[in-house]
Amino acid sequence: MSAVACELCPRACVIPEGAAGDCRVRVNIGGKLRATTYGRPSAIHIDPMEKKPLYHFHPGTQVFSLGTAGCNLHCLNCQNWQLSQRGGDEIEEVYPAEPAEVVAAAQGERCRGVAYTYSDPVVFYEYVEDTATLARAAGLANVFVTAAYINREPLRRLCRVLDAAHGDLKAFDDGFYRRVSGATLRPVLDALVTFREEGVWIEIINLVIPTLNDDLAMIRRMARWIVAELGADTPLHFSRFQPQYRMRNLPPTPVETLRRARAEALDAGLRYVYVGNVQGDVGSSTYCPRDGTLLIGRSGFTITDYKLTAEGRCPTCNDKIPGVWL
Amino acid sequence: MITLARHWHRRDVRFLALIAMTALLIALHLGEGLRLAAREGSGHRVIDVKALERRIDAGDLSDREADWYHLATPQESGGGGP
Repeated sequence: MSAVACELCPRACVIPEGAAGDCRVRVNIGGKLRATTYGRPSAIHIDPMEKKPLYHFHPGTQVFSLGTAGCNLHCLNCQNWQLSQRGGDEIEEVYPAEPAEVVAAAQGERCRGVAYTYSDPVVFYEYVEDTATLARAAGLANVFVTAAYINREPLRRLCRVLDAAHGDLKAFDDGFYRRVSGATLRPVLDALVTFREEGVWIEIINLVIPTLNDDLAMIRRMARWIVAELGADTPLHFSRFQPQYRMRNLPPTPVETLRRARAEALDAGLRYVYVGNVQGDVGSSTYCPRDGTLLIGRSGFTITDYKLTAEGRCPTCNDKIPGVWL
Repeated sequence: MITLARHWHRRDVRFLALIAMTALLIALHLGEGLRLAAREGSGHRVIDVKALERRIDAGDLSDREADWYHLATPQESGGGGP
């Protein structure tokens, strides 16, 4: 019986023949590890870029989004648990789509790029890499929406074909990662730094959960770490928790908590901090850090105002606003 | 009286032996759990591989070989070897 050792993520699963890794979709068949969801997405949608959410990357464009079964994290509050906490053999809905077909479909729908999302694309790594290579050759952007629980070496190789990443930093607390997500913090921080080192545009999201990770002192430490390691221009999104899956015992995040978190992160030195999942909140728009000019107004996933110049500058002070613009 | 004492003594011994064996089994079970938890990289899930192969044959799933793995060393696979 030939066991294999997976090198993709920090779990380092040792998988006996006939078993799957912790992610459920990388399976040892006959002594070889198989990526069973390669070319077999179970969710395909065309989303606005703002839904990823990416606010400084081709705003107002559409992105062809897909995800397969499986995930290497097991968050108690997962919003896509029907997809992520199942193996490929447990899901009926599968839409076979080889990489070339994905790229053709994205072009046919006039999308600006392809997003690898919904579950964590780390577990369908090979599918991402092959699709992203073809997408880039076709002039499409590649967006990686991830919890960033991946080893550095595979991530560095993947970064060659990625344009933007949306990294989920769930809390600045290893205990939270262990209790809520069944993971650890350090590899996530390393992966986020790797995105920056490899020149991939990155935005961070933090889902604020009442009583679990809403401590302002921790939020300040997280913001300071982002300033120091990723840069003050890295957008940070505070998102509103909604009770679901195995975490129905907590209430939705009060909007005031999100606003306080935003104020704390701005005070810690970050220049672009957003409030998400709150319709029409002032914190969902982009302002010039120098003079406060409204640059991009948003309501939900809709852009209500766009005042950046063609060069991505503030029309008032002419400061360059970091991002990948239209 | 002596017969009764011997009877109770044998019963106590058997009862104590039963308790000791139960405690030993619980300790072994907990020890195995701790050993597995302490061994990094032990994670895997048992699946119905026959059902999976049927879905692969039907085209619902893929048998594309993954990147980023190696045959487990004896140390990695817990002494059993690949």
